[in-house]
Amino acid sequence: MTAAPLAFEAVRFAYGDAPVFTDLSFAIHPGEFAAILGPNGSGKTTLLRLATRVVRAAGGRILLGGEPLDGLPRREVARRAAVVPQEETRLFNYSVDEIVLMGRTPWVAGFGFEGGEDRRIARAALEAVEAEHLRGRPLGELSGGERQRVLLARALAQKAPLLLLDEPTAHLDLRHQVAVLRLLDGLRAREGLTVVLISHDVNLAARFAGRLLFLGEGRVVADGPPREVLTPDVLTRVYGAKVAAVDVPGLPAPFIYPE
Amino acid sequence: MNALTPRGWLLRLGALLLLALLCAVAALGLGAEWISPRRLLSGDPRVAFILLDLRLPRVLAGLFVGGALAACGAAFQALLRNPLASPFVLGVSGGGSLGAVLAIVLGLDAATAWLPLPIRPLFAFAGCLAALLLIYAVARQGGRLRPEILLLAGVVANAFFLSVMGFLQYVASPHQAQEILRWMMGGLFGITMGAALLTGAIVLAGTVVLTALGRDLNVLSLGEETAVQLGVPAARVRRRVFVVASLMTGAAVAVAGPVAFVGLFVPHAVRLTLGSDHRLVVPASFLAGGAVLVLADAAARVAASPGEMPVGLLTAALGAPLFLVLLARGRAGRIP
Repeated sequence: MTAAPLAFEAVRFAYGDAPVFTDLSFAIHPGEFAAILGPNGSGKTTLLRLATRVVRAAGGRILLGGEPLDGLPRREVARRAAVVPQEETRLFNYSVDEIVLMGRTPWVAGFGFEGGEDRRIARAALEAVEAEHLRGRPLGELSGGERQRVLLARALAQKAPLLLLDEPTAHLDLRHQVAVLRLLDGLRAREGLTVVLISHDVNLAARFAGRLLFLGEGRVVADGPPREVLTPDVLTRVYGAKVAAVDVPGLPAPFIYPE
Repeated sequence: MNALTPRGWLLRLGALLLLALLCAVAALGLGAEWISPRRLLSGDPRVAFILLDLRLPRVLAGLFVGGALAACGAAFQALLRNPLASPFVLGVSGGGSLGAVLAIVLGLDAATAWLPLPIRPLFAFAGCLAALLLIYAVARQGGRLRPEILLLAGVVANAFFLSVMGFLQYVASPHQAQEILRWMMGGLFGITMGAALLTGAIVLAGTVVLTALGRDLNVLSLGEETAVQLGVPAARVRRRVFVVASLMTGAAVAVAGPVAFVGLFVPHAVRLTLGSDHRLVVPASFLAGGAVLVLADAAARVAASPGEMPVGLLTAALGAPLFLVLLARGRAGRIP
């Protein structure tokens, strides 16, 4: 039995006086596609920031690949978990190649240049997200969907077994949302990655993720396969809005809609 | 992958080095008196005096000062994630100017003529150091330098230094006031060989360090959180870049005053032609900035011959319109 790529044990965290997590515990298993859901302010993004030590927990323990996060050097953290942000502000007009090669940062010595192996990995990452045709283009010229693929390729180039995504489809249209999630599921299956996806879209998450975790009141309030946790009861409790669920033939989980 | 390779890096920097050296040689010949390459080799003692004692320190200082300002501008733009940043926004140059103005008003130049090094640059450098420490202390919150506080603290500190300088200028004698005005324009007057070489040592060492941090600067310019998640110790990198670039700026301002615009304009021109990889942008800006300032100073000397004109006037007068053209064509980076 290999260690859980990511585990939170009774984690506490607050921004100043505002508590975010009072007792957050869960473990993500190898090869899993898990979605983290919850209302605004429930700490979804904070969870990613804790998992990559952008911020430190006030209490409890976080394990990355079975080892306490606190004891790992920065680079080692980046070798174990790669993050795909929602969107990135662009300051200088880096090319697609340059951005993807930056994914090799935790592997390249100090101020050196990337070697042939790094280039090969970066190229493979672009191919894996079906974006090799974007090579050499400036990032500023790409569409939102293309940019999202490039950020995903950068995360893949990190060669981390755990992929953390912060609403990667928030700015995408329906077709591109589905394309990105299908891509993620394919990568998980083919390359044995573990995927943790933060999402606002309950139905989209349920369509692709094998496990849903709902955050609320500073902890996990519901956790399980979509079919088990997607009940009007749970959703009303989590979001504080009246919702209904209806079974749709062909869908793996009930379809959720506001009442 | 058509990204930077060691070979491409060497080739581009080699070409720029050649260009900078050509500019330096041309600038050695240019001035109130044109000295042709042939006369240069004639062994005439008067020619040797003009070249070695008058022009060489000046050309060297121009290379180092222009290079320092441009390299620091590139680093500050990435550090602050702001394309409008220049070496002067962070208040370090303001502190340096205040130091120099103090030395002028107190009449220290004449009083300390026996010192091996001129006193004014030392005062200016001390002023830069004081400003650096002040701004560092203000912007360091929770163990990290916050870029937005850094920027605001720099702007406010600069305003304060300017007001004190205004007061000193007001109470100074007419002759001192004239001297202050000339210093504030930025120029390469009366720089001794010792001062030029000392500046060069600081500036070259700093450029090597900033170039070595180029890869981290690339990642840091994507945002602090992304940098951390890619394994870069963002807080440490930011501290190092700030301190090193500030020391370089201090060394440049100490000998030449706040020479306008080189630090803002050159990095953008370099990014437009060579791309945005800071492993290349920093040293390329150094070489291009040096070449630009040396040429501008030669042009200023020729234009005002046989008198003197502060090169800072020329860099602003030519640099600003050029920069406006780049902005109008929408090519000078992305304004967030």
